[in-house]
This record gives sequence, C-alpha cells and structure tokens, in this order.
Amino acid sequence: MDKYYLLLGIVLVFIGIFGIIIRKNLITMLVATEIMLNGVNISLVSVSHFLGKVDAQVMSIIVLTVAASEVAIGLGLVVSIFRLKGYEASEEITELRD
Amino acid sequence: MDIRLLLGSTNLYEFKYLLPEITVFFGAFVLFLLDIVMKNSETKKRVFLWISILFLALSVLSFSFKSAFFKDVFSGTYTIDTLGMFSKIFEIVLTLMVLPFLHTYMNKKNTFYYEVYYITFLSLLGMMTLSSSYNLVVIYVSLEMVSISFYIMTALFRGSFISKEGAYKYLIIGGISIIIALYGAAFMYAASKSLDIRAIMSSYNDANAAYLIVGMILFLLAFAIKIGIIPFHFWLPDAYTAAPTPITGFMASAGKLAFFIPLLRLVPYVNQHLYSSWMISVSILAAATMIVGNALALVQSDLKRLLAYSSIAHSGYILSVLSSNSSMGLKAAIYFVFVYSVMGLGAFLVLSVLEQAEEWDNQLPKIGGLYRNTGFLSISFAVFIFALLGIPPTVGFVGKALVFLGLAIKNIYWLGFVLILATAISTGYYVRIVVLMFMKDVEFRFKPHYDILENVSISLLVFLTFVLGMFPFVLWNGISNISEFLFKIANLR
Repeated sequence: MDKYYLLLGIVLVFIGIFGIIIRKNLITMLVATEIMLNGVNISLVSVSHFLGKVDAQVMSIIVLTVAASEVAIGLGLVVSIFRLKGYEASEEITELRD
Repeated sequence: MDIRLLLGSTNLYEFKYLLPEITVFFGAFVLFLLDIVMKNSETKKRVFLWISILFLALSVLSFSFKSAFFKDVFSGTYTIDTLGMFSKIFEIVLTLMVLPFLHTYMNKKNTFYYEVYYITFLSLLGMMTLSSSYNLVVIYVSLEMVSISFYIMTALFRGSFISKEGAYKYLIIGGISIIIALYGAAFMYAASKSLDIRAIMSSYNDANAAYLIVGMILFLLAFAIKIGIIPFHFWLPDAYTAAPTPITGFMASAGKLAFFIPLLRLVPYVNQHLYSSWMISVSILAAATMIVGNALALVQSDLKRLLAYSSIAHSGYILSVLSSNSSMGLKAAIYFVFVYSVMGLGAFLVLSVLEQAEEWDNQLPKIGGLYRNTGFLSISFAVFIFALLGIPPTVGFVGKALVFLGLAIKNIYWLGFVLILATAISTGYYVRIVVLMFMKDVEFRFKPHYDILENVSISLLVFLTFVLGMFPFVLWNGISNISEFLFKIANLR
C-alpha cells in the first residue's frame, strides 16, 4: 500500500517539473513548485509511516509552513513585476540574457 | 500544564551555546521594532547602520573561543564545533564589511529600504545555523531562511525591472533545489531511519546502498544548485546582476561560504563504499564548472556579470577538491572557501563604489583609465582581480596550489589538469580588466566618494588578501586542526 503513496509522490514531483518547464504563466509556475513540494511531503510522510517513526512527518509539517512563506514572496514578486510591466507571462521576462 | 513537560527534554542551560545566534536574532528584532517606531529621516538611516554594527560586534564578542571543540546540543540537532565557530565569525565580519557600502549605495540610488537591515540579520542567522548542524530538518529550515532572505534582498531595487526578474528566476530555481534536497532527505531517511547526516552516512549496508547513494547524490545536486555549479547555474548570473551590488557581494561571500559548509561536513562521512559514486559525480560537476564557467566569463562585457561567472568558476575550484576524499582535500576546500569570500567580496564592493557615478553602466570599456580617476580603488580592485586569478603573493595562489595538492595526493591528476587549464582561460578576462584600468586613456572623469567605514573595509580586505596569502599559516593551522578533528570524529563512529 505504501508503494502507491510513494508513486503518487514521484508523479506529483514530475508533474511539477513539467509544469515549470512547459507553462509560461508566472503564477502557474509558482503553483507547479507547490505541487512538487506536496509530492515531496507525501513521500516523506509515507516513508515515515512505512518505517513506523514520526520524524519525517514532523519535517513535512515544517516544510508546509516554510513553503507558504516562499510562495508569499513569489506572489509579492509577481505583483511587483505586474506593476512595473503590466503583464505576467514568462516569455516576456527576457531582459537578463547573454 | 507544566512548562517542563511542554519543553520536553530540552536543557535550558544549552541556550548559552547559542549566544551569538541569539544576539543576531535580537538585533533583527530591535531593528524591526525601530523601523515601526521611528519616523523616516537622515538620522534614522544612521541609527540603523550603527545599531546593526553594534549588534554584529556584540555577536562576535559573545563567542567562546576554543580549539578542537565539539559538542552536540538540543538532542543532537545542533552542533557547536570549531568549523562552525570559524565560519560564523567569518560570516559576521563579512556582513560588518558589507553594511556601510549598503548604506551609501541605497542612499545614492534612491532606493533606501530599512527592511534590508533586518533581512540581512535574519539571513545571517540562517547562515549561522546552516554552518553548525548535521540535522536535515535544521539544515532545511536554515537553507530556506538564507534563500528567502536572498530572494527578498535581490528584489529590493526600487523601480528596477531586472531586479524583480532576477529575483523571480532565483526563486523558482531555488525552490526546485529545495525540493531536490527534500527528496534526497526522504531517500536518506528511508535508507537509515534517521535524519542526522552522521547516522545516515554510517548506516551503509548492502540492503540500503541504492537508497543511500541516490539520497546522497540528490543532496549534492541540491547544494550544487545553491552554489551555482554549471548545469544548474542559470539563476546565478541573473540574480547577481540584478541585485544591488553590496547585496551581490554579500551573497557571493557569506552566502557561498554558508552554502558550502554542509557539503564540507558531509565529506568525512563518505566512506569507501560510497566513495566511487561521490567522486564521479563531484569531479564531473567540478570539471564542467571550471571549464564552462571560465569560458562563459570570457565573453561577458558586463563587469558585474563577469564577476558572477568568475564566482561560478570558483565554486568549481572548491568543489573539485572535495572529490579527493581526504583530510588534505578538506583542508584545501575550507581554506579556499574562506579566502574566496574575502577576495570575491572585495571585488564586488569596489564595483559598488564605482556604481555611484552617473555615467557608470558596468560595461567593460567604462573601466578604462580608472587609475587616473581614483588610485586607491583601482589598485585595490587590481589586487582582488589578481587574487581571483591566483598570482603568488595573494590568497588566490595559495588556495589554488592547495587544491592542486589535495587532488595530487589522491592521484586525481586529470582534475588538476582541468584546474590549470581553467585558470589559463581565466587569465584572458582578468588581465583584460587590469590592462584597461592602468594602460588606457580615461573614459570619463569622476570622483568617487567613500567615507571612513568603507575605506577601512576595503583596506582590511586588501590587507587580508595579502596577509593570508603571504603567511597562510595564520589561517592554515586552525583549518588543519579543524579538518583532522572532523575526520577523527567521523572515524570514531
């Protein structure tokens, strides 16, 4: 049974990676990183359940808390990008290149 | 409910080992309150600068200096030892040097944010906890603490679009690196039922070998993204170019030092079963970083971006010696990461003074004839550039020689050859800067202003660049004790 939870975690992480690579919208990219983090959380919790310990479950709660602050920063950045340029698509953000 | 039950088995007297961290945290708190209470004025700016300097100085003074010292506190989640103490002192002193430049820079660029002071303090707190723990949870939280502060500080440039863009790229790629680290943590936990790196790495047996190796490599990759190793370096030049220049210096010196410490702590625990996979992955990453980083720096025309690529190349030099899993290699890596933070910070700080001029746009030809404008700045810039290149009386030479020695001891000559080749490539762009500064006509006239604190910082950095290079034993004795002590403790397990 635990095997399927681990598979779910891996699938979510890969969905997140493809989301970051394929989607162009800034907010969608943030959501994709959140999906990856939740996949990792599921893996941590199921490994912890499988081993019969609680360390990684505690860690996953800490991860949830810290991830919320990271997304808050990300949304703040999206808002300030939107204010400065007026659009929110990542193909437009190409000033830094070489 | 009894408060002692709530606190569990925490020994409250152990908080005395956290005195420097608590001082820094208290400083951040005081600055935060002051920001609410005081009205914006010129006085407030100066008050903020001096209060931050005061708290950082108090934090340095609150260390208890001991050599070959090792103690686990808070049930093994936090480790007080000599490597941690050295790196914490270095991080605090580097922050002390950055602050005056930050003050002048934000004033000149009309982008003064009082938040930057306590965010600097909080990121410093994250660096301090990052450099003294073996526990994956503590490493994760402090890694996020440093990174989130860096995302904010990169974006703190009023009205600049590229600043936000660089910060956003840093945020996304930094988030991916955190996720990779956590996935590695899940694998390591599955392999060993523990979240302590020492217990994880010593739990090797045939049954869990695959999980352990995958976890270790994922952990390495996550830190490789944070320190800007080549296939994952895309955020680094963007974020370094986008950030206000003193912040860039802070990220490149104290931040890089802090991000390297967990990798350095991992090295003594890589035993002979794990050695081949560790050595292959580290040496391939390092070789790619040295060659490609220097080659990309060669084609840059933006001075700040050039220094960012040089920072990537230096991460490669430091990482390369971690592949020789020996005490000598660890000594060389610790020495190089400390001295890189000195010379890299110096170069970025000189650049931040030059950026005060109106016409300055960081393009390479603009630096032409800088010697006739400002003798002191151009000579100190030349010193830092020569140190980054590795010319003998400076620290860069000693660092590279030690790295080569560390590789030669384990017969990894091909990586040593790559190191020399990469240094040869890097000569092209470093020498070009010095030639432009001293042998060309003046591009434009200006008189940079720097106050007494900035003068002292740059002079101190130049002094360290020479002294630690001419008398490396000042730093070397301490470092070799640290490294041998770390290996001794690792072998005891």
